[in-house]
Amino acid sequence: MIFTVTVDDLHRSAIQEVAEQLRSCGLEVDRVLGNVGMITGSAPENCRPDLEAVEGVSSVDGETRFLLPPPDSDIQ
Amino acid sequence: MIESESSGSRPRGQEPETTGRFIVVFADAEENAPELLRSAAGMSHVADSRDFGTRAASPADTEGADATYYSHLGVAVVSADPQQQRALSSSSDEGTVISVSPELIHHVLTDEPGGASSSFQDSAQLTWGLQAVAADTSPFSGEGIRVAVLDTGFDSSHPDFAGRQITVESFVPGETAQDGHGHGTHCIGTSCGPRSPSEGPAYGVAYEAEIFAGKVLGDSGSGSDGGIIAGIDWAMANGCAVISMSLGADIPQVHPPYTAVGRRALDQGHLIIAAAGNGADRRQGDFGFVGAPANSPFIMAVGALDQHLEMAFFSARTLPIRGGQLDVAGPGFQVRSSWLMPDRYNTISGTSMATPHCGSRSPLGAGIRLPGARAVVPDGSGEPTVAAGIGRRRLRSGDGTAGMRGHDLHRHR
Repeated sequence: MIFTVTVDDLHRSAIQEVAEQLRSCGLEVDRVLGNVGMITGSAPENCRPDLEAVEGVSSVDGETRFLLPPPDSDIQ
Repeated sequence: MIESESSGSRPRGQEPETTGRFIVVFADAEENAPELLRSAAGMSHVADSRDFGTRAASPADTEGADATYYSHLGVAVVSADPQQQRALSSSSDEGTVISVSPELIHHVLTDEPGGASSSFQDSAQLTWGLQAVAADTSPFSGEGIRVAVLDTGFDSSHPDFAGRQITVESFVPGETAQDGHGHGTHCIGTSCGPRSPSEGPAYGVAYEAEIFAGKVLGDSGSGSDGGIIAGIDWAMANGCAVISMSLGADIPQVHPPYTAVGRRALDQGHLIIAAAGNGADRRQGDFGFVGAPANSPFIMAVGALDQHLEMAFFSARTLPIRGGQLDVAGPGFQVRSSWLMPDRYNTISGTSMATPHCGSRSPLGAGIRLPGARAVVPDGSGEPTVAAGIGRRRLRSGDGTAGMRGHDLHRHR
């Protein structure tokens, strides 16, 4: 399952350490995004409580998908 | 000091009607404004709302007064001669007065349903959308401003953008930033397209802006949070003042990551705007709702207007949660802009098309930073407005921007 992890304001400067902790809890890290303070990656769904318990994590959210209408649609 | 010169209550191009009195806004820290009015401007008779208690100030209370001070607001209405006006204005240098503005005469706004006077159409020179946002008379070209459009990428072979400073990046695994859909190239065209296109009317608002095209939706039109948030992070790292996202999902809840992302972007001086969504069919009485991520508290939601400055039938209405309001609306019906070669141009509708009209027309898109303002939006007069302070209003034809219906606007922030 793909997750977006929001790092809390206090730990944004330590985002790499938070990412390490998330890795040790089973998250395969895709991106560590320092400007927005987010970490994206994937992990089995049953890892979610462990990810949420990592110090500095504000929330762990499943992914939302977005889909545009086809190119020939009048309304886009 | 913030100079206030235009009203927004009169059609653009006309002098605002004024009473001859002035509105003085005092700094928050100014504790004895009535005394300042007496000492700095020599006003002997200052009525103070604190003397009225909980009742409204009546004409009898303020008749004959040089000034009436409203303590809860930190605002005074004053009758000042030019010398007194100068004295008050100079108090701004000491930080005690924020602004001295002419008192304007306001009128009830009359509805003009479908009125011909409200109708725009493409001309040989300009799309109707550029006319409606007054891009032709704006002093702002986007020069020196970086604008990010996070979408399906960009067709780098498009001749209308030859010679432009464009940075592209793909956040879609396995795809280059080349647009394989058309939507991204269309949005970039509206946001930043040229004033002298190879064919047809000009269609780009910020025609000298530096373009950052982030591909967060694949050629199939689909994408997900990971790429979008990575695109926002990239746009912030590159100093983009406006981050325009003509994408959304019809979900009636805030998606939590975008609350943090929107707040952090604003705190660092980047405005994220997003399409409200096309989930309505107002012809059938279905008004839809603002979807994610536009329904996030710190992301501006953009609705679509037609050529009469009425809400387009598909444009979603406010979702009644914190942040779920429609914040602003712009031209989003039958919008001509750039498209994939060899087609070159396409005319399509959607809140996706409204979003780039608004982003590049916002004060942040014009390089204006307001002290203490978290977000700024176009307000029709060309003057910056704080997003949270829009309230209920409808812009009128000829005043240069978008219109809104009261029922589309609710304040939740």
